[in-house]
Amino acid sequence: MADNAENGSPAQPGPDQGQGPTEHLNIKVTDNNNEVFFKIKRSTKLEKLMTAFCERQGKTLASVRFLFEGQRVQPSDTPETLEMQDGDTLEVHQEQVGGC
Amino acid sequence: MPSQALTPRTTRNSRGLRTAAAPSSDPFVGSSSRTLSRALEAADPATPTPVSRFAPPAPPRDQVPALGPIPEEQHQPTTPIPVAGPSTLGRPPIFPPPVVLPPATPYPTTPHLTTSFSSPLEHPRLAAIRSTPSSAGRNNAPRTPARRPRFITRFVDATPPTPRAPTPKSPDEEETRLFAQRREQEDEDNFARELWISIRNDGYMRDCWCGPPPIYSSREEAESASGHLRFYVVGSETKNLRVLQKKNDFGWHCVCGNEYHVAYKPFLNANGKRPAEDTEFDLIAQNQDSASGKRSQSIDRVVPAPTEPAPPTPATEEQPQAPGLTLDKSPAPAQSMWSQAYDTITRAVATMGGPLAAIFGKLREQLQVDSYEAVDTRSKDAANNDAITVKRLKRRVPVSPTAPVPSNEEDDDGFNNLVWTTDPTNRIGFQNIQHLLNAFESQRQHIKAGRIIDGPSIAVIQAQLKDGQDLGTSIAVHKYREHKYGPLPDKMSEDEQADQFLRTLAAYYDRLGNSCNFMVTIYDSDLVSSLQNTHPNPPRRLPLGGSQFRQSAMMVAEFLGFVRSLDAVRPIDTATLETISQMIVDANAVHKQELLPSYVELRGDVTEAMPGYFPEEKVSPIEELPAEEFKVQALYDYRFPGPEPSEAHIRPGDLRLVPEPKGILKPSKEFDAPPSPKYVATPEKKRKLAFVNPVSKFIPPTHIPTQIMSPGQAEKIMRAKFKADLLRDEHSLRMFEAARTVSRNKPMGYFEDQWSLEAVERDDREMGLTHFTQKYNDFFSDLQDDMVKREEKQQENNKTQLNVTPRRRMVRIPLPPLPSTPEMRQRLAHLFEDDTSSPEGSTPGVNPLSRLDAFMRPKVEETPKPAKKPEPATLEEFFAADDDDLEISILKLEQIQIDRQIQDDFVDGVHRLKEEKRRREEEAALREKRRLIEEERRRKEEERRRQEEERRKQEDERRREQAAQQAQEADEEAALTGLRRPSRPLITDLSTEWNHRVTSTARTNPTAELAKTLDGQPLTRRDFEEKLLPPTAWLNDNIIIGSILHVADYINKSKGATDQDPKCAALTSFFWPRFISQGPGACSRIFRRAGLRKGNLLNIDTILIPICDQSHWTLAVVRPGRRAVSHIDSMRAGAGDERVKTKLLELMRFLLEDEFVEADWSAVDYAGPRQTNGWDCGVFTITNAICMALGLNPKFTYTERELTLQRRRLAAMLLNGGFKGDFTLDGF
Repeated sequence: MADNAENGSPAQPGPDQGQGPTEHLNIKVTDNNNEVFFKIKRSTKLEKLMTAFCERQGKTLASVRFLFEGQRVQPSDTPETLEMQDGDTLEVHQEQVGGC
Repeated sequence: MPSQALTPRTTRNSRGLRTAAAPSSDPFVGSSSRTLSRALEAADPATPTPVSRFAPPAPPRDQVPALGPIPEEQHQPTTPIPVAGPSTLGRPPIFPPPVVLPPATPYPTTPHLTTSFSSPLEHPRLAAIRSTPSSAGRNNAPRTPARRPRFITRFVDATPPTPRAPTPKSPDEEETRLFAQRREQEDEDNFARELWISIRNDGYMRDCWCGPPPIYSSREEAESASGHLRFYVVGSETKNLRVLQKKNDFGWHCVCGNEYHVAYKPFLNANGKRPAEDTEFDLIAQNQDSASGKRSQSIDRVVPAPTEPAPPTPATEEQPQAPGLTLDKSPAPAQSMWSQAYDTITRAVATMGGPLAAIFGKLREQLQVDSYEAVDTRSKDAANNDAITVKRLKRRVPVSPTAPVPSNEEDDDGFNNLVWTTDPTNRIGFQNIQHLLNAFESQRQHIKAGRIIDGPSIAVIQAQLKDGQDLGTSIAVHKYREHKYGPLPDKMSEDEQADQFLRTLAAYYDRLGNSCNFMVTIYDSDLVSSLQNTHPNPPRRLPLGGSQFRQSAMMVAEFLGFVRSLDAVRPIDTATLETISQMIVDANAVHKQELLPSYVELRGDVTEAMPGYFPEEKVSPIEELPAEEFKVQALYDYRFPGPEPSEAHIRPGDLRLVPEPKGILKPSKEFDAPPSPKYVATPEKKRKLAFVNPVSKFIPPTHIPTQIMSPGQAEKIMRAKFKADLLRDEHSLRMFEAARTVSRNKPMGYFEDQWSLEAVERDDREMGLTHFTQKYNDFFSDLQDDMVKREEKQQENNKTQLNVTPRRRMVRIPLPPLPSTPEMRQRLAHLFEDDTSSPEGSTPGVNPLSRLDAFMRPKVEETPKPAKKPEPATLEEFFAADDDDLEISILKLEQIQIDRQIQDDFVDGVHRLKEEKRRREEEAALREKRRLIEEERRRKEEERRRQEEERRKQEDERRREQAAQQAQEADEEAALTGLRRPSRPLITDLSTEWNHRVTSTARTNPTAELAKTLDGQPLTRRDFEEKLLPPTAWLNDNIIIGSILHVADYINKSKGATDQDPKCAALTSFFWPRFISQGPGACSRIFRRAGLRKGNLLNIDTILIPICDQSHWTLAVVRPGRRAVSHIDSMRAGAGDERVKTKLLELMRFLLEDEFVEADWSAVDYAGPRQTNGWDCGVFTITNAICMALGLNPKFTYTERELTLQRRRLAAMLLNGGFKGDFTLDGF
């Protein structure tokens, strides 16, 4: 594991390491109009990603919902806990509000 | 003494140095008068003999020959001056005949007032008031003029005072002891009369409508009449009034019970003055002034006079003439020591003779020249400017009004050096006086002859002057008019102008006459010699004539001041100006009861003739001052008859009116800003140049209360403000005015008003109005009490004998007589305003007149019928024959007229009675008709009410049926859908704690996690406060998902199911869009988390799927156990969208795969409450989810109206962390 860490360069998450859980993941975040790719560690909290996306899109975190395969993603979640894999997509939905 | 006066004497100039007698052109009065007197003496050396001092008593005015060209009747009324018969006088009189004024004797004015004078100091009014209670007061009793009687209609108790007519008894038994005593006390003649007047005046003042008691023509008539007190006339030749008291007749003469009118209440005091009246007036004046904010005047409080006397003249010894009037003086020991020493030195120097005196004189001159120069500037300037100076006797100013007077102090103001002059014309000059008299007389002649023209200005007058018309007089009249009325206004009708001109002319003519009279009276050597006889030494206080004469002297002074002011228009020669100026001083002295400067001269010093005489610095009692500085002041001797000038009476705290202080340097007029060459947009500002330096302000000295207001201002204030506004009561007004005279200068015109005989008479009449009322007030009340007591006793006796029902009848009662004088009538007009029009209008509504006819008849017979009596005209004549009882006869006549009026009224009353009856019948018919209508209406009302009741009963029944039907329906539905009715209400009120907790969410930190949903989503303040709690907020996914997950969790927990094997499964709202867009295959992760598998799906009771589609929350429900899919849309009252149901069936097919049996599954609709608003669908969705999970029928579980409460309940449930504890769903 330590060797892997030593050898593995963060810049190249080599597809050759695809069998095991790779150190870094490419996550696509999309809200149907925009697609943003993030490269994060498996243990990184998704909060980082969410805030980055919101900042970039000029939205507040409270008004958007990040969904992974139809399931709500909490800021405290990590790719590990969600069992995400490289190339997975996070969908960004607007907050659902209804009255009439 | 004559020799002394004749001694040629050097006069001193103002430096105190001896000079030779100045030529007559010398402007100084002293020297000129000397020359004049000497010239006169040369012409006629005869001096008046002492015999002529005693003037014979003044003969009646009619016998006095006319005063030369002055027509007596023209000026006599305003200033009645008694003139003595022609006296034997050596020197030619100024104007025949000369007049003697005995100084201490009172001034005879009019015959009827003469008797009431007791002292020259006392005003006639005081004396008149004092004499009122005596027999003289009779004349002052108010007279009742013949007039139109006025009536008022009232109901009176007409119950016969006694059931049986009282048997005639002896007079002793008829009268009470009280009455008899009083009658004996008073004079028999006066008693009835005063009593009658008292009753009448009393009624008048109370605005009583009972009228004065009737007067019967004989005793027999009075006996047969009714009333407790009966007045009747006795005597055939000289008639008199008598009064009869009937002890057992309880008809009091007044039954109105009116209060005294406010205007008269003050009169009922012993002194006729309201308590604190003066203070009140002062306060009112103060408030009015401060409130109105007038700038023209202000009211000051006079500060206490400075302790030092204004001029350092030492006071003198006490007056022998006026021991009661003490004079204050300052001890000034240093000064008296100095004067003592000085006297000694000068005497020594005078006796030591020439050389030493010469040296001393030179030294003295050298040493003192500077100070003399400084002092003398004014005199020198005056000489250069040809100004006129006048001489007057110095006035002593008291140090303080309260300080005791140290007596016999050895100081001297030089008054002892004064001696009587031989001829009062000495100082002014005989020829000068004569010249002025002639000028005045010629003006009077011009006016009489109509040689005067009127014009708007002097220039016009000069232009329009024709031959034979006098320019000087015309100008003088014109100026007098301006003086009196101010500048002529432009818009004034010709009539008004002519009227004003005529009035001016009359006044001017009058003043001219007054002035002539004054001169003739005052500058008469007989008068001086008689004075000399009375007072060997000239007294300080010299009352000449009566107060009216002194007031007229004031007017003369004012008029002469006006004449002097004519100098500006038409130059008057210096001698005449001097004459006028000095005359003003004299007139002022007369007014103030001071010694006239013209009457005295300085005693010549024997040492003057001695060689080496050095003039000593004696204090001269005569002071010289420029004529312009001499101010004429009015002294109010009625109020304060003391000899002191009026300043002495100012006490600290007294009020006075003072003009607004004016700056000596007047501010320049406003002027426009200079026109700028270019247009300037800023608005132009008016600029004002003013001196704000306080140095330029004139601050009037506070301790000298002089020159308070201009006459015009004062008159305006007095008349307009107080007379019209305050009380409309002349008496009070005069009281006020008298109080104000202390410190206020009054206009001249006012005196004529106040001091005229009419005013005094009027005063006396007014005093008479209340006099008798006061006198008999107690007596009447005692008498009435007595009567009432006896009446009560009598009534008790009567009650035992027979019951008398009280009867009422309507009578017309004459109103009280109108005020007897026009002034009073005018003043009291407001009291009668409403009465005059009311005799017909005040007919009362209820009228028990049924027995009036029978009852009134005997009464009418009782009243004296005019038919039986002599005709009123003859009666009037009959009574008129008696001079002394004219008043009573008039009253009698009035009474007869009143009686006749009563009779007329009775006839009217009968007519009215008939009218009344007719009207009553009509009214009864009308009432009957109305009653029928009313009854009909009531009946209809009743019927309608019955119908209403019936309908309500039916409705109740129907509702009950409906409820039963509903229940039945529900049961049917339950059978159909498996949904039941809840056993208790789902939505109930929150407890106080929970309410508090929900409310407190608003105060939490925005980022704080208030609760967490079961899928780990934190709920923040935003979710609660913005998305749930506001009644119209739209719910967001967090709330919906959180709530529905809790529902499923509760069901699972309560049924003991696990997450992976649930009984109730809930999906998030994110499932449905994903399912729609990507199909069920993309949702495996969601199904896995929710525990939906092919294996257990059919064991699940309920699957709840919230759907958010286009801002609308709905709920999709799958009940695998019943093989039913449904979609509950609150907008469609529970029914759902067919597409959703189809999709749900698709979903089931996907999940169940081969276990899906198409035929088993069906899409059903559940009925639920309908959403009618635009914001509650989220709450509907959650509540429907609860119902479906619990198996309840939403339709019977809640209504839309409860959903606002449900929002709070949901919030509380989320905070609680699920349906547990207080929010448990057990038991539904």
